Amino acid sequence: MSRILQFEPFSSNVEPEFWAGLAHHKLHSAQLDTTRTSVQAGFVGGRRHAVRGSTAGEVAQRVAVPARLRVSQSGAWGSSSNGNDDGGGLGAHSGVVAVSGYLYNTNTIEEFKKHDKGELLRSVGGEILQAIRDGRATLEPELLWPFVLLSFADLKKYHFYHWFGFPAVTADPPDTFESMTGITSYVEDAADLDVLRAAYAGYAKARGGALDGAFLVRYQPGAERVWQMYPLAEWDSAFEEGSGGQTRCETMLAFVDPSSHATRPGWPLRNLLTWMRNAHAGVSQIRVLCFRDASICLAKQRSSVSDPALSAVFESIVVNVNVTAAADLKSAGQVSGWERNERDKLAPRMVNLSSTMDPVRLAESAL
Amino acid sequence: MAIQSLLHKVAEHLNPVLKNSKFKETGVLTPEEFVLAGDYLVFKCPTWSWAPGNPNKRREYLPADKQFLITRNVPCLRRAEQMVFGLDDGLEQVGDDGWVSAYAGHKGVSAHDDDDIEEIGDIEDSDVQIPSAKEIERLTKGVEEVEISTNEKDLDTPLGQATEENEEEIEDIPSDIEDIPDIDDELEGLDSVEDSDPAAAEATNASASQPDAEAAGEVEDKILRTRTYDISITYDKYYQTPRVWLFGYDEQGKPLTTRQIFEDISEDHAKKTVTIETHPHLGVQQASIHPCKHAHVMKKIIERAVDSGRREIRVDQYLVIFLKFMSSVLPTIEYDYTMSTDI
Repeated sequence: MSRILQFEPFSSNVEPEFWAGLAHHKLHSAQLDTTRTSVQAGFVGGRRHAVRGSTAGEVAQRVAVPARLRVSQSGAWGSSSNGNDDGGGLGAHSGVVAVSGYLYNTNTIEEFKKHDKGELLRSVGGEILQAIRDGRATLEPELLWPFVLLSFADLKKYHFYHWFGFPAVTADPPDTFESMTGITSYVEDAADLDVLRAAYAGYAKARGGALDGAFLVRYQPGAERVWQMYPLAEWDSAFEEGSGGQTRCETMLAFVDPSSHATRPGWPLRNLLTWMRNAHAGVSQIRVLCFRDASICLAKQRSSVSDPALSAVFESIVVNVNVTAAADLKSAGQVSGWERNERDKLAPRMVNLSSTMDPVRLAESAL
Repeated sequence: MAIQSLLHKVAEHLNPVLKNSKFKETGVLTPEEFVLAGDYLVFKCPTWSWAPGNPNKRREYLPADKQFLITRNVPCLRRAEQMVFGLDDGLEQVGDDGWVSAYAGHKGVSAHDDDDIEEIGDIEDSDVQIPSAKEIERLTKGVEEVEISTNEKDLDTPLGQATEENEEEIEDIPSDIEDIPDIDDELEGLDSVEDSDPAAAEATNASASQPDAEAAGEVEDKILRTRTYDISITYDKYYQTPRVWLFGYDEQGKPLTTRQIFEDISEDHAKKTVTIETHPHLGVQQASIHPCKHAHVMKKIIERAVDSGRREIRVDQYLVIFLKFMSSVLPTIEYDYTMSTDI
């Protein structure tokens, strides 16, 4: 029985430095220019958080938390004097998958309200499809995951109206899945998970330290190299027949999964499946590894890594997805992904930073 | 406040960098020891990492890529107030940690120190012997009570103002959002696109997937939305100790106001040792635990550990112990100070 595959949406998380940078950018370089600007964000592999039990004897639970896309100041305002490369601490070394987005900063609240939101997502969705068709997304999977940020900065009050969109090219009828298992029951030997973590760290290092958000993984228990990773572009060699008569040799499509939900892969998989649909139209079924907790994986090599508490690799899931063929889609180019606000509505948010950005107070404490 | 803060900045600037290790005698750290202790913390708890900060604000006495330590997205489920008054029934039973009894004013609880340490349980790291939360609580309580009188007024004044302003802001926000009510209407077309998207999991309605999950024989999984904190630790050159900074987000990722942050700080400290200042490396205002007592408390903890005949505390364990001490100030913020508590 196949069921509709549901995805855990991104939850935006903006560092206060970002708004400070936006204010500076707006005042000093962009001014009334409303053409879109490139901004940077990142996500890390999902990791359940431990919550202490409320009674003394109760065992701490590990609960799923929102899949965050964190927007920091780093690199966001490249052209302005305020810019710096690593101010926000984002970087490959910390296990962050870096993605680019587009900031549409309007000049007035009216413009913000009137902006054609549907058209905005559709146009970025079109760019994603274009990147898939011309092969750029195969080389740089991050191109599958641009985000949009529509904003209006009220610089008199330090109020920032904003709305994030995470464009996902939808499939109609939707993709379904046959089965979903935790990776601990997928592998034959728990020790293989340690090897997986090390293999991914080695792969990331070999790829120049930058984290590939999506890649291919071949699992061959008992082989000399139990896990082998390939970039998306090396599809054919990843799916080559296993050597030496291994009983099991399975290749999976894998991505760094920001979700920590037990049964929902994260949002990046949506456009990755769209990539599948277009780049490998002949494949109707694919096993997907939702790889979680890349950040811990890239931390220093540790001695006691087999402790499940230390790494969320153990929380990764393997899903057998039925990909709807491109020819069967009823409508093409539908794009969704506006973020819901704090009241669970499709509406913008507002942050008030007058207490942290008031120049009088900042001047007081500046050296 | 402004003057005090400015004086501190000037003093920090003029104060020479501490060269010789004095941590056992006075509880202070040299920058090198801070880096050493930071490396140990990052190694023990990979959720912490070093950050380079803004290059313009770089401190020369620290390595460029190791200016301060940061951990992000730390969940915070309950408000400290709930712990104070035992509103959370379960917590009332957590007497072992001393949270309730300490706040209930049972200062004279005469539990034997060694017993406390036996009961910690959550610390399995054999080479770090850390005093229990209860013990630290007593140590810090004594310190606060002795010295509050000199600082209370200064620290209270600015914070009182900040709180008043926040009160206004809280009232402002809903009305500002009401200014743009038609934004929903404009999105009717978009709404239908989203609603007809069966693959988009409802963010808050976790039960939407319940039938599926049950069919698969899996326990329903819910996304827990909590307040989260970005916690950073800088080196304070004037006090020669680590200093903790907090920036909080509410359940929807919106920055917390000062008043809301105070809800997550134990009442004993909220209005006394917490100040709102500019983060030295990030340049935005954040809440900070004022470090004026840190060295004193750390010295006491180190002495206590030595006196009770336990293994001597090494300087690289300083931050792990320091964070244990901070957990009495921030009782509800579940940051990672030993790996074993993260199970």
